[in-house]
Amino acid sequence: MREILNIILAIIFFSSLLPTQSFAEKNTTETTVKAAKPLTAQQLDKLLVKKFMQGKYSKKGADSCLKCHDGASDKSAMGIFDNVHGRQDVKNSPFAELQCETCHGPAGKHMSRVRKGKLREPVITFGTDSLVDADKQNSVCLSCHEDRQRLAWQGSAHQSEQVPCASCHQVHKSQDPVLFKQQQNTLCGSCHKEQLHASNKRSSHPLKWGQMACADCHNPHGSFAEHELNRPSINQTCYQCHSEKRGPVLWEHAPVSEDCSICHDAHGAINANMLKQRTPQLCQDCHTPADHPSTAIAGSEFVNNTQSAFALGQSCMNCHSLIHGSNHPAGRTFQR
Amino acid sequence: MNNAAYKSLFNSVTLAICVGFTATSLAMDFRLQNANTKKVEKDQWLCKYCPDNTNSVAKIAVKLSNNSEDNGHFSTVTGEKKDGAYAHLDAELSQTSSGTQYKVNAKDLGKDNSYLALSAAKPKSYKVSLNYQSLNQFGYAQGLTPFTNAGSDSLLLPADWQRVATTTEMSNQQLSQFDQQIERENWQLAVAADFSNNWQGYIDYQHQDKQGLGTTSGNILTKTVILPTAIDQQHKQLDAGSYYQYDAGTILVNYYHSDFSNKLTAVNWQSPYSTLFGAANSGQLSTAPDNKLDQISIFGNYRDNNLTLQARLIYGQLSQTDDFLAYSSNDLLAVNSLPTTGLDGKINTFSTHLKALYKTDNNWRLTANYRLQDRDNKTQINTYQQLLTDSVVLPDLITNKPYSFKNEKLTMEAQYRFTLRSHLSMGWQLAKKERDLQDRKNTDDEKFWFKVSSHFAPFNQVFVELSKQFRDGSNYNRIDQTSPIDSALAMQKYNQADRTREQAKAYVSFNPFSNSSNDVLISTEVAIEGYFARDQYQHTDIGLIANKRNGVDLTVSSQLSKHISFAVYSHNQWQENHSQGSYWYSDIDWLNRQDDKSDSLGITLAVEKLADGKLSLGADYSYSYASGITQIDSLSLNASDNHKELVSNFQDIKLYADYDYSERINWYFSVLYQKFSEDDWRAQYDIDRIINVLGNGFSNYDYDAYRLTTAVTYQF
Repeated sequence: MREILNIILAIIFFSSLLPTQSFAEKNTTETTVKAAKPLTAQQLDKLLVKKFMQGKYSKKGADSCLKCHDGASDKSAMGIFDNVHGRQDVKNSPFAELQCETCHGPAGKHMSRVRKGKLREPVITFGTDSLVDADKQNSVCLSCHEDRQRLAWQGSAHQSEQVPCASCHQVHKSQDPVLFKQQQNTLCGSCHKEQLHASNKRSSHPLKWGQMACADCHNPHGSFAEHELNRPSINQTCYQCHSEKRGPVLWEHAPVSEDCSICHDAHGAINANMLKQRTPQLCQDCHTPADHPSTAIAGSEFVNNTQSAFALGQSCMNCHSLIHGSNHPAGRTFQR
Repeated sequence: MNNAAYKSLFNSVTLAICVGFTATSLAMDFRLQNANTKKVEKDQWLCKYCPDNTNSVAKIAVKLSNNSEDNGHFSTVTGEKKDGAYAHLDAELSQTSSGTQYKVNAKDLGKDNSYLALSAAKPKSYKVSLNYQSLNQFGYAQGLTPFTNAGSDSLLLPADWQRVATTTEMSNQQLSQFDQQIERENWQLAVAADFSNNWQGYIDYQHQDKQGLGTTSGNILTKTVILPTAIDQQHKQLDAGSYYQYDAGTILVNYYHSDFSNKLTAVNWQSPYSTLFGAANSGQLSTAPDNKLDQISIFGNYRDNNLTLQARLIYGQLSQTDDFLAYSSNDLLAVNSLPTTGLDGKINTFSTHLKALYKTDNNWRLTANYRLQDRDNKTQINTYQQLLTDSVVLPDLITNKPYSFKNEKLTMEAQYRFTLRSHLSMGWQLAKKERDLQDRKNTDDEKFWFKVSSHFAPFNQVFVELSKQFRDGSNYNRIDQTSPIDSALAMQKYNQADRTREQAKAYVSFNPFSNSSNDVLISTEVAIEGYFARDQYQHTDIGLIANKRNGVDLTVSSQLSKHISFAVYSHNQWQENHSQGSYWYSDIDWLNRQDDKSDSLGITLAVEKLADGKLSLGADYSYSYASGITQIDSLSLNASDNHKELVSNFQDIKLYADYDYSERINWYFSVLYQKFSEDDWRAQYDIDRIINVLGNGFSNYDYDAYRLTTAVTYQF
């Protein structure tokens, strides 16, 4: 009797250890793991600053990163090894310093296993899609590249508009596309749409086919001149290639000496010679003495007679050919 | 909790806050210099998974192209004058040895437009580079001219040329041919050296040769002929300086020298017209004189966490010392001697730029910017006789006008960054211009603007920018040279006139499909931009009175799948210019309106990693259309007349294939097709189209053309 009672008690005892699921199936309440909310920009900034201050770098440097960011990855980092940034034998290159973490900051727990419902610990990322503040992104690049070409970066147009370096430059490619003229022009035109449109007009600088580039006149990293021009003024920028118009000459044409953009649109125009308006009306906007300058130069009635020279060919410049100024003693009217 | 505990807690919290703020201000950025590397142990940083850095790369691409056309426009596009087949070469060579990298980059060697760059650089030590570029602008071919020696500085008619009164009578005479072309060859030698960690020096020397054949026009009284003139110019530029970087900033000293020289001092020509009323039968045109510019500049900046100060001063001098030509090549004219043998022109230039940028801890950025440009023309003023095109000596004497300008611009801007990549900006700018010897001594242009830019769901970016400018100035006193009639209607030249300018721009971009997890339509962005600008000129009855420019841009770019990307943009722009004129000076008796419309469209498709990842295909299409209408309304005649509409229309398509045949061999093929046409009635330069302008036969471009290119690249 005692043995039977012990067996019954043992059965009761061990059965309590069975998974309760089978007994509680009908009463189960399902629980699911909620996906973690992505960090806001402020939260991310706080976390990255904290990580940067703590300085918890990875144990194995680039090897830690390349386990995931290898050639097969969607976010492959391998292109960097084809340029100077990925060379350990180049003094002060990122890979000679802290390797990937030179730019992306201390890895911290970025490589650790990610629990369900949690997000991977972030690192500093770059580009327009990154939630990292543009000035902070750029501080990484400026660690090494704050040099003569970027003297005027602070307060420049691109810096004020919070443009990250990585929105134009690609460090993980063997050759940065922006260094090639045609790709550069396309990239600039992706934001500066009016200027891209102008470069497609009938009369323009040869930007469309990569024979000139935006950086031939402008410094995208900032300059001390208006419109981030390479030289101190609009005219001095034009004179880099058009120095024959610089003067000084005996008979100057005042708007020419003042500002080339009074008459020309350097990005392109539908009129010949990149003029903002067609001649002769462009000239008539300022010239109205007696006789021919103030005559209305209309259409058909002035063809095939002596006055068609005002409308056709070079218009006023059929006679006043030295319109940018003349050094001839008899050149006051720019005809000599 | 007792008082001691509260106190302890308060102290802890206070300390935490201070540390937090301090930490924030200490780590305001992620500069490498600020990194906390105390715990870094690089012994285990073996870079096992890093590929071996290649110490040498040698790639040579042999290309063969075929152009179907050799007209000036298509030649300028392709960078090669001849039609038919031609070979050219690209090369990319690099060698790294002992930390120094040597590079050779060549593009299109063998073509008229080509590029070569050689460099040797050791980071933080030195860099030497030598660059060469040739850039050609091809003009019209087979232009017609009466002169037998196009490009000479003394243009001669054939011995049997019959001088006649109008161009209509010249078309049967013997004419020669010439081709327009301007070639620029640019050499650049740049050397930069790091003398220490903080101190660098550099020299940059550029030499440009500009040669070719262009056209200008020469007239004797009312009779003009197009002159095919040689271009033989040099421009040398030297930029040398040194800069020192200290903890809080940089100091830079720079010297710039620019030297322009023109081998052609004058162009003489024999007039093909019969002599008119005792006019000359030959003329002499001056050319651009040699000139020099020297500038010394000094720059300094200072930066701490919140404050950036920058200052730059540039002193310069422009000079021109060529001897004058004689008053006239016509010995029959009685002229006085020249007051001086040459201009001895001197212009002192001074520029300064001062900038202060202050960032507050609560996301405000305050900027103050001052610019000054002073062009002080010290050229002597003398009195000269007036001659009319080598034919007539006029009685009145004239003096030259050495124009001086002074521009000052003060800009103040406040920007509040209220969240990531979002900011609100407002600003004020005052631009003061001073002009000597012109109609208006001073103009003041005041500008106010406001901009808000933000990223908020569902948009990637939205911005709106508004600005308004008001310009006025001192009394406008017209000068005789451009408007001598006292009783004439008011005219203010548009660069000096009272003016109101309004501008507005708005932009929005968004992703219509949010689908980053699938393989199709990985990301698509649509961007729309619209802009408007209007100038209205006040207190001016004649001249430019208003202009307007509006446009809209639509761009769609999409990563259709992992290896297929697509982009399309379209841009439409409208421009209007309105001016008024008066022939009789008591009333406005004619109106001019120029209406310009321009459209452009671009489509790009790229497909990568086909055929086991070896093949990429692409297509680029662009289209551009423009029309310009000039309408003249004659109020006195109550009639309206239009100039013939200017129309230009071109489209091009480029298809390419890029195939990695093996690890070392790549094959590339492309075809470029272009259809171009322009109809500009002004540009029809038939010989006798204008009875008193002997043209050169040039006409508008209208062509279909293609270029085929195949290239084989071998990597050694």
